[in-house]
Formats: sequence, structure tokens, C-alpha cells
Amino acid sequence: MADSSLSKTRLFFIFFLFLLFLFCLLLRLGFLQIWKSSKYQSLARNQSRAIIEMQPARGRIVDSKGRDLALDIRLDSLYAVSREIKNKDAVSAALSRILGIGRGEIFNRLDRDKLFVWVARKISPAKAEAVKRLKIEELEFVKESQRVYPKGDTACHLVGFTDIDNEGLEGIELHYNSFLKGVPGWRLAQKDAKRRELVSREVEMVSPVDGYNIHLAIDEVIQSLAEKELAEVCKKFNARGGSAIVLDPGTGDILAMANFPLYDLNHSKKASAEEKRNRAVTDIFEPGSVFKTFTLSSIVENKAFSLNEKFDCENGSWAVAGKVLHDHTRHGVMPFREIIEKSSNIGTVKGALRLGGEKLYQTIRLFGFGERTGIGLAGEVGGIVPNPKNWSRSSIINIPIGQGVAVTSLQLAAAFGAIANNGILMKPRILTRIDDADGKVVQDFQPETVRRVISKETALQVRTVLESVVSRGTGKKAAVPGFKAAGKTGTAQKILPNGTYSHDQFVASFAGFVPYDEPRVVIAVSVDEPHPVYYGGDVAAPAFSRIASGVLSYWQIDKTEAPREVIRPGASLVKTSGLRAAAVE
Amino acid sequence: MRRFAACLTVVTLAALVYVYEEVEAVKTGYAIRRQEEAKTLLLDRGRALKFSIANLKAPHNLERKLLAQHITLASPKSWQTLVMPGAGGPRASEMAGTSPAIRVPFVAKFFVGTAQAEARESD
Repeated sequence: MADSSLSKTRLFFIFFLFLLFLFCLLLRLGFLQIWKSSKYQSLARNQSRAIIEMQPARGRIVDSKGRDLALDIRLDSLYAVSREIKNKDAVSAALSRILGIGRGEIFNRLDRDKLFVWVARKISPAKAEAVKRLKIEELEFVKESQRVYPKGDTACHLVGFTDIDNEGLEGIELHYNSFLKGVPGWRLAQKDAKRRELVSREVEMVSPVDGYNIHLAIDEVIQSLAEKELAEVCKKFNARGGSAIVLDPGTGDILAMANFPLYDLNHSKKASAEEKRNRAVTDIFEPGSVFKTFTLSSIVENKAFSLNEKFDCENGSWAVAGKVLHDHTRHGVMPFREIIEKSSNIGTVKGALRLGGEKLYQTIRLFGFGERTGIGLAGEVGGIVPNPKNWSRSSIINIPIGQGVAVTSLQLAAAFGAIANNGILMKPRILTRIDDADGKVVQDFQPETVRRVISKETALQVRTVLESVVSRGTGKKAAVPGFKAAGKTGTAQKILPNGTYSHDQFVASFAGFVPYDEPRVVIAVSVDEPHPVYYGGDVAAPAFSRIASGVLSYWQIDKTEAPREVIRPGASLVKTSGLRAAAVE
Repeated sequence: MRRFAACLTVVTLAALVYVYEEVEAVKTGYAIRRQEEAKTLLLDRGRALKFSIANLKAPHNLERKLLAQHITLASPKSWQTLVMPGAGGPRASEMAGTSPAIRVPFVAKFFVGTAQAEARESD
């Protein structure tokens, strides 16, 4: 009896222990699943869910025909979970061989107690594949957008470039960065224990908005042509630099904005600040004789005197206003139209004295000199045109012949555009529209009339005189075979740091348009410090002729007259081989 | 008892089917993600190809390649060129429509083919 009672007690005691144990388990379960449920739910959620940022595609930059000048491609960027790498030496050695980065540098990056360390960003597909073949789990990839420029150095100063984070640093990339960059999006992703993404029933995402596309007015072919001719002339005459602008006078469209030297946008880090400058809008220079065009325009517009009126050019030397004014060639008495044709400084100044400084200044300002054109490019300057209130005694001698004022190539092109456009100044247009990835227009840029500068009759008279500059005057080398071109040469001394004019540093320029009677294109070429030859008629005028020929040929504009003898230094014959190639668009 | 066993069987089968479907849904999810990754890869390759095409079509690249083979192109004469409607932008079609009557040399009519540029050897 006593034995059975003892057994029952022991059984009950064991049962009670198990019950206690069960009760503790239940308590623990309740504690974990009820009391601490939110904490563990949150841990589980964090472990399985991840917010994935979705990068937008940066907008493209295209020319007037939709040809890509800048676009994005996606490349692999390599990162390491450095904390978990066991054999950092071996991994560094292997990566160094593939990536071409110093072994020590890679080791320093891996030797950090971190879960995320960049090893190399935006590497080529071949290198990425080679790294993947190493099959090192701690090395992972993420796709990043890389900005690329398929045309290399074409329109480099205009397009600009971005940094490694795709933020614009120069040119259109900088100025319109807010339009190009887009808006990033995100989505909530669920991952399993092996970090594989699951398709979630709960779709939480904000789609990225791709950047807008920028449509430029430039034509890639004309741009390339202008750059090629400018580079040739700068190299031939050992120039420091140069710029050439091709413009449609009717709309103000910039068809080409070429500068020299060029640089490859895909290797922008290698370029110097000098190479990256958009000289066409940032550099000012004294225009010299090309500015006589506007003195002429003012004289005709204000009816100061007839262009047939004669002036004495003093045989090339004239003492006036405390200085001696020289002509590069001696002339006697000539009608004013011939004074411009032969580019006589003395005759031009005499005409300007008759006109008066105030009227001359007004015309100069009407042509847009002394203020920015508002083209919308970073770094544009307005030039210098002193107010008559601030003129010195010799200003009336200097300004009519393009000294004592400073202009940009763009201003010169736009002003000649006004003469070509029957006296109406158009605002230079570099962008035609901005649209989204679907082609829907976001912003439209229509041709904009600034103002009427001179009357149509004045413009026609000025064009006639400028035509004679090319056919009979200093601009013979600007002649375009089969067409009548018009324009003006310029050879301006540069100012030295001590304020005096240099005798061996010049800016050679030529600005004009073709055909002279119904101008289709305006071209302004300026070359900085050509030597040993430095006259505008010898340096810039031939470049104008070649660019104009190329453009008219590209546009298939029929010749308006029979070919005549043209002075073309350095022309060579090409032989026909009979080989036919496919037409290039 | 039999009813209970039958209910238990039905519930167990239903549970198995449910679990099977859930597992299949997850597997399909993995397949979808793999296809999406493949699509992304193809889109990336497409962009890279667009870059390559644009690069190859760049005028300065074409010139360099042709110069390397001692070939220089000359612009075609206007009577050698056919302008397709809508091609080349408004200027080309405008000029094609408004240019004066183009006189093709009589003999050349028998030899002129489609729009082509003549490649000429340089000196």
C-alpha cells in the first residue's frame, strides 16, 4: 500500500514537472508571439524586404535630325562585402590583374570592416565577365548608368559632359541638368533566405521618371564639317585656337558651333581647361575690319551720305585725333563702297566722322553688341561696347574700324544674320525642343525675333557692298564656286597685358553669308593668333569658303552661276577611281 | 468515425494542394524574375548597340576609316541623287521640290544608278 502511494506521488511529481515545463514553453511562446510579436515581425520584414532604388535613364541629347550626341548605357559596378572576405591578398591580386588597378589600392579598399565597399565603378562588360568567372561570393555587382558620347569630340563644347554620378559639369549637360537627370523611383522587393527576389502580391513601387530628351538645332554633319575645316586652318597656321559658327539667318538656328582645339567627351578628364572652353560664347576679341560692316550699315540706314560719295584715303597714312591712322594698302580718292571693299581704315573713319558717334553707337547696340544673345549656354559673355559718354578722343577713330570694342563670335554671326535676314535680328537658337521618353513635347523653342535693326533696303545695299568685298576686294578667297557670297574680312591686333597693341598677335576673321541675294547660311570664322600668315582674307576666308561649299552641297542647293576662277591655295586634284560607295546619310 | 476520417482526409488534401500551389507560385516568381533580368540584360545590350551604331556613323569616324584606305568621298551631283519622300528633313525635300529643272546629261541616263556617292582615290 505504502509502495503504491509512493509510486503515485512520484508519477504525479514527474507529471507536474512536465506540466511546468509545458507551461514555461507556453509562456515563452506567448511572450514571443504576442508580447514581442511586433519586434520580431519587424525584424523578419527587414530581413526579407528591401527597398530597391530604380535609377531613371538620363535624357538623350540629339541633333536636329534626331542623331544621338549623348546617351546612356548601363554598366556593371563592382562592390565587395569586405568584412566577409577571407583571403584578401589573393582576391586583390586576382582583381588587380583583371581591372588594371594597383594591387595595393584594391587591398586597401577590401581591408575595411564594411558590408559595402566600391571596388571599381562602371567597368566594361569584358572585365565584369572576367570577375564573375572568379566566382567569389563576396564580390557583387550593381548596374549603373554610364553617360557615353558616340560622336567623340563632335560638338564637344556644346554638349558638355557629366561626372561619374551623371551630374552635368559642362555645356548642355550642365545647363539643362535638371531636365536631363529624371526622377529616381523605388520598389519594395521581398527576398527569400537565399536573397532571391520573390514576386510579391503587394506591389509597392514608385516608377522612375526618365530624363527629358534635348533636341539641338545643330546638324551633326554641318558641325563635323565646320570642326574639320576649322581644325585644318588652325593647324596650318599654328593658331592658338579658333571658332566657327554656322547659322540659319531666317530662324537664328545654330547649325554648327565649332571650336578648336577639341576634346573627346568620353575622356573628358584628360582635357585641359583651355580645351574645354566654348570660345564661341566665352571669348571676346576686338573684331577689327569685320566691324566696318556695321559702320557701313549705320551710314546707309541713317542716310549720312551716298555710297558713291568719294573720300580721300590719304595715301595710306592720316594724322587724326593725336594719332596716325594707317591703311595696309595705300589708296587715294575712292567712293565709300570701294573703301569698304578695299577695307581702308582711313576712308571708314572719315565716313564715321561724318555719321557721328551717337548714331554709330545706336546701330552697334541695335545689332546686339554689348549684351548677351541669351542663347542659353553657360559662360556666355556680352562683350564690350563703351557708351559715347565714356568715349575718349580717339574712340571715334577706333570703334568704326573694330577697335576699342570687344565681341564674341556668336554676336558676330547673329549680327551678320540680321543683314542676311533683311535687317531683322533673330535670337540665336540652340535648342528646338525638349520632350519626354515617349516623344511628348515638354518645352518648345520657337524662332524668336529680337528686333528690326536696319530697313530691308539698307540690308540689300549692305549685302551688295559685301558681295563686292568677296568678288573684288579683300575677301576673294572666301568665294564659293558656283555661288555669289558676301562678307567681310577682319585682321585685328590683340591687346597686350600692358594695354598696347601687339604687332605679332592677331585675330583673323571672316564673317559672311551665301548666296548673297537670298542668304541661306551665315558663317563666322575667327582664328586666334595665326602665324606667320595672319590676315583674315588669307586665314579665315578660305575656311569660310570650304564650309559654305560643304553646307550648300549637303543641302543640294543648285549652283546659281557658272563656275569662275577662284583663288584656292592648297587645292589638289582628286582622281576618280571608279569605285562606288554606298551613300552616307 | 468514418465522417471524421473523411473530413480529415479532405482537409489534408486541400492543405496539400494549397501548399503545392504556393510553392509553384514562388517558383513561377523566380522564373519571372529571371526573365526580367534577361530582359534588362537585352535592353542594356540594345543601348550598347545603339551607341556602337551612332559611333560608327559619326562623320569623323567614317572619314578616318576611308582615309585609312586611301578613299575620299566627293559629294554627289544633284542629278545623281534621288530624294526619298520624308527623308533628310524638311530642307532636302523642300529643295527637291523647288529646285529648278535638273538637266541630266543624255548619256548619263543610261549609266546613273540609284543615289550613290562616288568614292575617289586621294593623291
